[in-house]
Amino acid sequence: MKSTGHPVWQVAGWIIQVKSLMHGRESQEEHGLCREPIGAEKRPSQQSVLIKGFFSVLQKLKGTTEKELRIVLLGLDNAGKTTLLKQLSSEDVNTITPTQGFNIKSLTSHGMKLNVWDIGGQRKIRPFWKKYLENTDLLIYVIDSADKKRFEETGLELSELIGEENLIGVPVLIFANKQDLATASPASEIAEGLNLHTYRDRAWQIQACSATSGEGVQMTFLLILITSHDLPFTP
Amino acid sequence: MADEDSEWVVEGIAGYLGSPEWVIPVTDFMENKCTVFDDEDENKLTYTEIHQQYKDLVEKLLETYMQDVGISEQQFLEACSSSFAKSKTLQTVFQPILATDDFNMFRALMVQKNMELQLQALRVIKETNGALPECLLDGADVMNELEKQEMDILQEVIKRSKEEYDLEMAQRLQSEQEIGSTSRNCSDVTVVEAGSIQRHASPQHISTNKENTTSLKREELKAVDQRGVLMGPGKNSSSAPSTLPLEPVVLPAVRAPVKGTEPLAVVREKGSSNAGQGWIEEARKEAGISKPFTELSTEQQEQLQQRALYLRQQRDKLLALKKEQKPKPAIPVEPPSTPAPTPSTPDDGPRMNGASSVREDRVPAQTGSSPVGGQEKPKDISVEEKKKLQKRKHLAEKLKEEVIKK
Repeated sequence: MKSTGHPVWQVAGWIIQVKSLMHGRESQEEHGLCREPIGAEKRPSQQSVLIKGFFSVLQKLKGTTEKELRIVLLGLDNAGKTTLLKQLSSEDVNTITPTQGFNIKSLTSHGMKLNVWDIGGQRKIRPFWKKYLENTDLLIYVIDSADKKRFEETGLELSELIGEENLIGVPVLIFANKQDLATASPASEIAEGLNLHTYRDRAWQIQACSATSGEGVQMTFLLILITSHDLPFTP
Repeated sequence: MADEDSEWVVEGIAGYLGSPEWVIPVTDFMENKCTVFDDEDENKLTYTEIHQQYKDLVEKLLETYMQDVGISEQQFLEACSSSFAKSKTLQTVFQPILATDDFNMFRALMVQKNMELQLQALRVIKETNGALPECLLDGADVMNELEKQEMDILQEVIKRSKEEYDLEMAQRLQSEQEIGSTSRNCSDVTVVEAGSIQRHASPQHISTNKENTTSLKREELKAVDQRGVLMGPGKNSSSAPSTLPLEPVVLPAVRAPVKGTEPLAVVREKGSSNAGQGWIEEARKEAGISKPFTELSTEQQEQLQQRALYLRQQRDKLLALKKEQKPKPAIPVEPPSTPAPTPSTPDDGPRMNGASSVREDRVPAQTGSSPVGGQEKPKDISVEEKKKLQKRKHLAEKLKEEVIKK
């Protein structure tokens, strides 16, 4: 497989593999029920499987032969998530205001449909993050490389995300954003500060970029990054 | 066998999606929750919550349905995979279910629902009230445009009235100085006015006044005569609106033009009240108010001024109307000349005749009106006429051809 296809296809295959692994596990089915409001009657997990099966069939109906990936974009406020999203979808990045809710963009890249969810990073919104993590195929975590004062805060948020059940095994891509600023820390320094090397259960990658200029944020590049990395992940 | 089974299941599900058991709760849900869904690019966090509630609702409904009908999940899934792929019509039926898994689709559905409800509400308001209240009229842009137009017109009116006022002030001043006063009131006023002008007015202004005097003297006299004539009936009939537009000279807009930017401003400060009084005095007489202007209550003074302004506006409106009407006669000529409807069936014949006769009627009427109007350009009309005639000929030929061919 590795020798035949385009690197991107390898990514897709790999991610889908990860996904199927995740979904095959018992615990994952339990997570499916997490979306029910607290106190709601727990119904047998079979039902959930049935509905999921139903949806997968319906999805075929829609004629979407392409693979769909769910990508969640998180990070502190003012990290540049929305700018990154707009940059990825080739939109104007000059009129961006702090996100109070969330943005969704569907990008098509190399025969894959990438549904990118960008959720606001303000402190009061962060508790809502975990509602968007279900069935996530890739977590993109954005860091303001010039905001040294909040490195600790962003590190805490990230480690909390890594511990989320819904994100178990989900690969992480970290964008060390705002590299265009003179005061920005290099990506390697940030990786060290975040203790990324201690991640053993998932693939991770850190990428220096500037969302405003678009440097380092091409989607293809992004996908290749994930695969080309020496994956510590072993199923 | 399996195919038949699944067909039955599919039809059952489709039927269920059209039944009140499904439709009522789902529409209820949508109508209750759709109000927060707007067209903004950014999604609100509540959308997710509502989407989740929607998922739960749909799952619950489907679950109960399957239990009621007694379809096993296996059957259900098989049914879905077999026939669905074949029928595209079913896909739209299944949209509400797809929306549980597709946030964007769900959002689109909710936004649409919200719009529908808003439109419905507007219709209801319109029906009950006859018309929509202004605050609900869509398009602030339209309103702004209208307001802007109105403001432009108003400014133009004020400007013109000020010009006229200045001119007449100058005329009056001169004529009264030279001829002597016709009424005591006015002469008093002008004496004061003249004094103030000599003291304060810029030399430029005075020189223009002098230049104007000789040529304007006679006109002014005439104007005074006319006013005298008009004043007669005006006194008795208290401001009959029909006569009002005839007296735009009545110096209204006294207050309006008193803005400090003009060179006259200095004069105005001292002189305007006096001079304005002189003019308002006349307006007062015409309006049939017996007391001199200065003795009127402020309310009455305001009334007078308002009336004066109103007169001016009316006149300008009339002018505008006339202006509009002038180019108009050309417009009705054109539509019939376009040979768009060329009826070929004999049934249409009489109607065609009727139409053409109407057109013929209109033509003499127009040419006839030109001498009356005086302003109409006979040349234009004759050109128009020629064109029309040609086109009519064309039409007739076409008709002939078609009729003969048939």
